[in-house]
Amino acid sequence: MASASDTVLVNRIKSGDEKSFQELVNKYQARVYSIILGMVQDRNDADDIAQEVFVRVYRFLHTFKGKSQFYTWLYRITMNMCINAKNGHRREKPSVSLSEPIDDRGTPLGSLLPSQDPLHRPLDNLKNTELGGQLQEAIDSLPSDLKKTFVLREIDDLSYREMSHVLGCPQGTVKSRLFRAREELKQKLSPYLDSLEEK
Amino acid sequence: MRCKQARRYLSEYLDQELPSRLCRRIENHLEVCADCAREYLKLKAIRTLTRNVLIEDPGPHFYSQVSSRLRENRATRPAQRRRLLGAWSLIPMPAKALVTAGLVCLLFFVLVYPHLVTPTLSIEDFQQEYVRSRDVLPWGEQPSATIISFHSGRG
Repeated sequence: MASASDTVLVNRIKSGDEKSFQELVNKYQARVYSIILGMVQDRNDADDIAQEVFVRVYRFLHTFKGKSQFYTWLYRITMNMCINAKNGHRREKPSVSLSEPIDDRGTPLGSLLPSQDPLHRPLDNLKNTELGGQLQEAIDSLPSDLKKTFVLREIDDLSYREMSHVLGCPQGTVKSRLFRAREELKQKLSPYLDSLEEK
Repeated sequence: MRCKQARRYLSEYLDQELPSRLCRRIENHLEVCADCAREYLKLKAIRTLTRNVLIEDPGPHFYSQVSSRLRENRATRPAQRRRLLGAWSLIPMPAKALVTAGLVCLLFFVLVYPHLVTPTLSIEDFQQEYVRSRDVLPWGEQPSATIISFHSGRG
């Protein structure tokens, strides 16, 4: 992660350069979106929260003094937004599940809609499999602290030290949370993992 | 290295967070212990699957969505506040300093000053208190009659 380049971008944005903001969004959008997706498990919510994260970054960038790495600050905002969303602080929007049947024959709404951005969602095959669904369910069932530590590690490969800055806890806690999260996931997914092993 | 000890370190080994010496010991153990190697492969599989399922790009239109949300955000800010701030920025610096100093003085006299001054008893209240105390207090503790005449300007 090139922190010097982040610093340059942040300084340019502070002096009013909108192009640099676009560059910063492009650089982090996938990581932020994936972390949120791991936390909230719903694409519509993840879209909404990810947009709000970057709006907040833009609005409050003047408060970022550069004492820590930019991405630490960004991920902290991301995590807080996810927690707020989970706690129901966000406005509730009526939503219809894509798997919900909309007629007598049980046709799901999702099957009638064209798939979105197929080029950017190449892994939809796995996402829509039973295994993908089970994995998402298993991650979602983790306690909040374990979930955010696990998601942050797997999505962005942050070191334990970096994660301790983002999560505001000692490295030892990061280590034990990851261990516990993986043990729980291993247990919940054991039928699938055993079958993978056999192949 | 025993299996129990090795399994405690597998998560950190996967994350490459172990010192190199311990790493080599784990590697040696995994080469000879099929059960632990299987456990390690499960952890690796969870990582691969998680990345496959979760890592996703919100698409090429994401920035334009953020940008339009920012514009909305700006538009909904109270226009009056912006006008006031605009007017304030037009005022020359000495005038700003004068207005600020005036406001500080005003706040001081309204909020702080009344608490600094000790309350005084008006002469009428004092007279009433004096008359009341004459009936209640014994003779030795009664206030002198000269006090009342001095304060009322009749002395």
